[in-house]
Amino acid sequence: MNAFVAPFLSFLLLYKYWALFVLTYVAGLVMPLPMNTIILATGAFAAQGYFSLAISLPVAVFANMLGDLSGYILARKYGKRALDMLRIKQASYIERFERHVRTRLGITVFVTRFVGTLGTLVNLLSGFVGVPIAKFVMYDFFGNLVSIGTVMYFGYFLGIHWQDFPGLFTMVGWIIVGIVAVIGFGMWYIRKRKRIIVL
Amino acid sequence: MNVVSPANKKHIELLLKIIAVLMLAVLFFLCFLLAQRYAALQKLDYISGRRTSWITALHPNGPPTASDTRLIQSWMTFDYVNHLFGLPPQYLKDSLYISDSRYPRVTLEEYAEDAHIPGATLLAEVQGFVSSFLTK
Repeated sequence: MNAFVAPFLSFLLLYKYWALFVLTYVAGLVMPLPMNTIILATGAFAAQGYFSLAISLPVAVFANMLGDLSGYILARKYGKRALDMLRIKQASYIERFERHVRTRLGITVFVTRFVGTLGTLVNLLSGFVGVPIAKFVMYDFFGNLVSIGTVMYFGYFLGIHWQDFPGLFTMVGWIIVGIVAVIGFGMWYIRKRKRIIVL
Repeated sequence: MNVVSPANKKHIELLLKIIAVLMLAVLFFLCFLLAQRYAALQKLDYISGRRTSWITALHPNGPPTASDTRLIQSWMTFDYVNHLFGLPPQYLKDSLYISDSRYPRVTLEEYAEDAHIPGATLLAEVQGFVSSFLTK
């Protein structure tokens, strides 16, 4: 286990569900923490009877959702004001993102739950462009339930051998995002090409 | 409406093709890494040995054996090690002559630091005592 992850695991063992709540909340809010490893470990600890799966899963999902929602609300409430204060002109990609999330909010929020850093970025941008909160919460819930549930279940299944696997899930997460990006880019490319031909 | 000249059209198309190829290359590379990792784990005879039990996986794993003591790490707490290997709570405390009041809710690393013992030495001692307890 690398030196970056070890303190988080110690914290988890010492403070159990409180630590799980704090770590998943902070990871949802802004910090790029090694979430897959933490969740995988929690699942493994549950298999060993040190944690309860019935408590860990709701705690992790709820805390992560709360973190996501905090990021969303902060960006919604203070995002534009912060840009104004810093005298930063709203980038054109934010306008494009706004158009994108209005039409594909579900898939964007759901898929990015599998890759921590992207999830945080999407939370902030969703709040910034003001997507409907109810829809955001719904897709966030399903995304978190599936992503956290899957990793925790694998941790539970792997038991004491979970330490051989952490990198695998991060890689799988990036592959999912990569597949979606390639499909998205392909669709965009075809549309662009048609437009060029029409012109 | 913007009018795109034929030279620009070709230029844009070429650029888009290059981006698409690069994205696919990265994706293939990630898939290759994943396959490589999976193959390495299969070689350890772990995945193949478990293939039949995916459906029934929601049953706790069996108790660890003496060979599993290699899994003990310095970030683990004594409490967790005791629980994991089914040790009596006082076993490691007595074996290692621990007088720290935080025991067992202290990590091996923290204890080693406070007791001025090299971390690797303590880890090896803990592994040794756990192993000898399990082989008793």
